[in-house]
Amino acid sequence: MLEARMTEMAAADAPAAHDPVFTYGVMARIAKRRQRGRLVAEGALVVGGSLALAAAMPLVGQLAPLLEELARGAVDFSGLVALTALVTAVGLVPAWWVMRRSGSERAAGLEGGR
Amino acid sequence: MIQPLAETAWVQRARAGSDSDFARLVAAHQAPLRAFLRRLCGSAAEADDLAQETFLLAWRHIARFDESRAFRPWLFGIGWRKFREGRRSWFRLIRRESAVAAREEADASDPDLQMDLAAAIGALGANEKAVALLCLAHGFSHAEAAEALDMPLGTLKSTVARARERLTAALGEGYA
Repeated sequence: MLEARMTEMAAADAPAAHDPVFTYGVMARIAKRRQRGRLVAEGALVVGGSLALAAAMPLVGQLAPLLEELARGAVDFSGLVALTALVTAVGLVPAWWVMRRSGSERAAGLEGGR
Repeated sequence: MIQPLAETAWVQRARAGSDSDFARLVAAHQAPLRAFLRRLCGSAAEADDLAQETFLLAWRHIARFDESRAFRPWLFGIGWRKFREGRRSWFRLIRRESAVAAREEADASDPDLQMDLAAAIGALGANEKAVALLCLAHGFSHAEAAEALDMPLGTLKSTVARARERLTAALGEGYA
């Protein structure tokens, strides 16, 4: 008897068994949380990349002999090209990637939530 | 009623990162979880907030979920812990007390509602109330309720007996 009335009361307390609005609300909050986590990770990547670039700056000093050789017209360009490619990859590619991801997520409407 | 095999598959896929399968779990469990929390909190709005936070936490920690166990006690356990955390907040306590008072006033005006039972449950302590709701209203086995409430099985059984006794005493022998 007690169980029957308790079960009846629980059924009366319960909202609709199918409540798409509630489910949507939860999933929107999850999407928002996931996006925030991704932005933090991407921000850390950009900051890390920038720090790595800053740490690599002293290496630029080593370019002086290369520039002297360039001035003398006797330079091996392959080293210069490789260094430029490295600096570009470290500094610009993560930034481009972050901007592209943020743009596509906005387009997909994932910034919604509660 | 959710088929256990279907639920296991949803849990496995949700663990692998499938949002649509997690949404299935939310859809399947939202009604009983919200009913449980509503009766604990005394406020539908607060209970629904708590239920959302419970699902968020479940999503974040689903990788830690032991697939050999049932999903429902694990989920309700998160809800119970969130409820207890919330009770420690003074601000929430004030809000909850005023919500309960408002609800009791509203219920009193409607004789069709199960006021006697609601009042008897409201008079139970938090642990007894949770145990009574899970075991007597939501069909949890003692083992499932003990897992959800993180309580030794023996303690849970004695708490069920005590809650049943207090409810029967409040409602009359006809409910025994």
